[in-house]
Amino acid sequence: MSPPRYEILLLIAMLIVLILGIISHVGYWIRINSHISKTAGIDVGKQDLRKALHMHHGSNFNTIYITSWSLLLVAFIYLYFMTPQIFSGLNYFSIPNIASGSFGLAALGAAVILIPGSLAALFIPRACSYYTVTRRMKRMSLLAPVLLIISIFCSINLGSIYPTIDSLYWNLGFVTLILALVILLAPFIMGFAEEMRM
Amino acid sequence: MKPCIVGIGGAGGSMLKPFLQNLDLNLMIHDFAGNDRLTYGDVKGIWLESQTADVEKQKDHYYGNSIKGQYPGYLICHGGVNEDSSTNTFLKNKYGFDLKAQGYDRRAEYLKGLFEIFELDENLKRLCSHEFGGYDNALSDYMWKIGIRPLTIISTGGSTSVKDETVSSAKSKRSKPLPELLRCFLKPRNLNSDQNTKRCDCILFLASLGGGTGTGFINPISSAVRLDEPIFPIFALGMLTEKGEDSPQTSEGQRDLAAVIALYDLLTKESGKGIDGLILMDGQILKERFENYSAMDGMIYEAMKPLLDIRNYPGDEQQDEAQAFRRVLWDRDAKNPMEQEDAIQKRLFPPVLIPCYYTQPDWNGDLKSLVEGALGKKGHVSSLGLDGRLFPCDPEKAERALVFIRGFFELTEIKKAVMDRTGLSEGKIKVYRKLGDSRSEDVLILLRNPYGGEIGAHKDKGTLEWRFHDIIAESIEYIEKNEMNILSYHSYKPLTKEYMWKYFYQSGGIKDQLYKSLKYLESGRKPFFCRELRIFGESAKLSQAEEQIMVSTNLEEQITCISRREAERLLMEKGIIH
Repeated sequence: MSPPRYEILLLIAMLIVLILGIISHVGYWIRINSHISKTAGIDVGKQDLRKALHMHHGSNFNTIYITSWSLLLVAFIYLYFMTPQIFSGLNYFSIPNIASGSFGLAALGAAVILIPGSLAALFIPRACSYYTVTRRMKRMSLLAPVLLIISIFCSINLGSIYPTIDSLYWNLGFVTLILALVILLAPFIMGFAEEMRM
Repeated sequence: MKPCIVGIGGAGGSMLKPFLQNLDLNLMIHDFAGNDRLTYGDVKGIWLESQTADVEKQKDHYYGNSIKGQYPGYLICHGGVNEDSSTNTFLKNKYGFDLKAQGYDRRAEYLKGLFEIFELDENLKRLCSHEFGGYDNALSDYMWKIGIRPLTIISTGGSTSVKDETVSSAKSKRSKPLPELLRCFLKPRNLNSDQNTKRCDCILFLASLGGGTGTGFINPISSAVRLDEPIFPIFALGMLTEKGEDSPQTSEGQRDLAAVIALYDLLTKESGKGIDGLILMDGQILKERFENYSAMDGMIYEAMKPLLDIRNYPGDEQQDEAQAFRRVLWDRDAKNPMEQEDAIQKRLFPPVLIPCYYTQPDWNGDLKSLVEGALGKKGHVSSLGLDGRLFPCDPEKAERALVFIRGFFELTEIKKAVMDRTGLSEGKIKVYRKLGDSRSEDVLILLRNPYGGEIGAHKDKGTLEWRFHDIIAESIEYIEKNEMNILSYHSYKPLTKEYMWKYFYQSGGIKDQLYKSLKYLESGRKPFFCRELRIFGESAKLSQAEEQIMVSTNLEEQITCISRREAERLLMEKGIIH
């Protein structure tokens, strides 16, 4: 059995980061629930807790956050599923009708934003509203769309030069993608870390 | 509670800045929120200033012109008065007051007199009403109706003036709102909201009590609000200026006199006529802890955060609603006989609230250390600036404690910690729990009237009696030594000078009243300002029966206090408590 490709290992690493974010979120809820149950003096339902924890982060931040999550999905799909380099059977080039069209890439991006992107946009900012997001963290979040656009441009370049392979572009695309993911998950991870410190 | 924070005067404007800082991202190219900026506790605010030059020389251009719909905005107090105003000409010729004065030269009596005339002079009233379209007062009505009212829930419930609508339409034109559907999507908080949830349910004035614009405008604006809505909650946060000469070289005596006149007026307006509570901070304490004014302003903002936090503990949601908070502030003890209570109710004066604030990392320290950080350790009366007390006071003399706390704490434990430190009974401690931000826990304890009940307390450095005794004594000295300076202000007409003389020097005037206040402070009597005084109108009179009631209530408090201290001393001697 041949060892897994280098890109697959990095994909696993990225999934671990994502799972870490999910674990942080769940852990945060469990910790907060336990603190409040111990001290509130009444039974606190999930709905009440959600209502109590909800915090506004501002329209500008929400816009950037939703845009960033949508771009993250697009950047991920472009990086892993644009060329047959990683998943030879499942990629953009295997749908010639779209791939050869003038707006093929845009259609792929739009499809990603519309289906999984809109779901992410609905749930992730809401989940984020239960956390304290400092102004510094908000300013950091401005980096996410910039990094993701760099990642998308790298993927587009890789798609354009295929079958030539340029590992520098792929690596740059991946690094910017994972950095953006860490920035977007920072409120969850930091929130859980703060709760753990108590 | 969602206050409309009104910074008045230069210091008020600086204090207001951190409250109105935008917590949202600044995208530079477009603002999706328009004028609806994200602030801590969703507060809104406005800066009222009389000196046009001060507004124009703002280095950072933080405040825009609220008349042009800019937010956060400033409003020039006399912005509605034209240069050739007939009302102003009448005022100048008859009294020597100028509605368009650029600042008030640390003379609290100037604005006090100016506003009283509007209530008393029928010719002036008619002139003003005719010139300013029904306004009773060209300044306070303008500031209330154009500046503050549109930010409050009153503007959505009652009649909205034509000028209000002009301002709000100017605002909406500038903010270029997003299509409603997109706006709702980006701002989930507005999905189920009506106009009221975006507006403020009370007013919090921020001002320095140094005798300028801030000092003089709180009462007149409160009166204007009361005409519209008698029970609308109004609170004021006053900063007593530091000792010594300040930057514009105003002597301590002059500033103390201005502060005393302002405090006297604020604290002798009966319930329903003025403010509902005065939060007092001492600039001297803040100066000892911080090097510059900007750090002091930051501290004030941090200290008020537990009060403004809208993330209430589950189950504690409604209790910090502004009207409920107002009721708690006015609440009296029921132990007095009915007749006494009735008499006092009629003359109820707003309470002094002393803020005590402390914060600690949530992984370091416990509830006891948090409460002790705010109120100081037991027995430590004079710890100026070393603990969280932002005005000198003895917490054990407080009538009540309002505890705003952020962090995960049990209600009974909070009450116990405060009871241990203050000696208050459980029923006199009201706790408002907030969730906070997970990084630190902090507490703001507002002590209601923490003074009185002890003879000679004014000699103990660090008590409220000591601080007030100091500024009142300075003020009396200033009045006695500066008659010419007080009465010969360049513009005063003979009529005004005569009334000013009566106000300051006649028997029963402010000097006499301040001498009485000194005696009250020395004997531990509460309150030490007892009678509303006017420059032009007739001052309030205290009947003999009411005097008697106040003295008897005071005696009861004195006995309670002495007994408690004696019991504590005995228990400490026997080693039962430490």
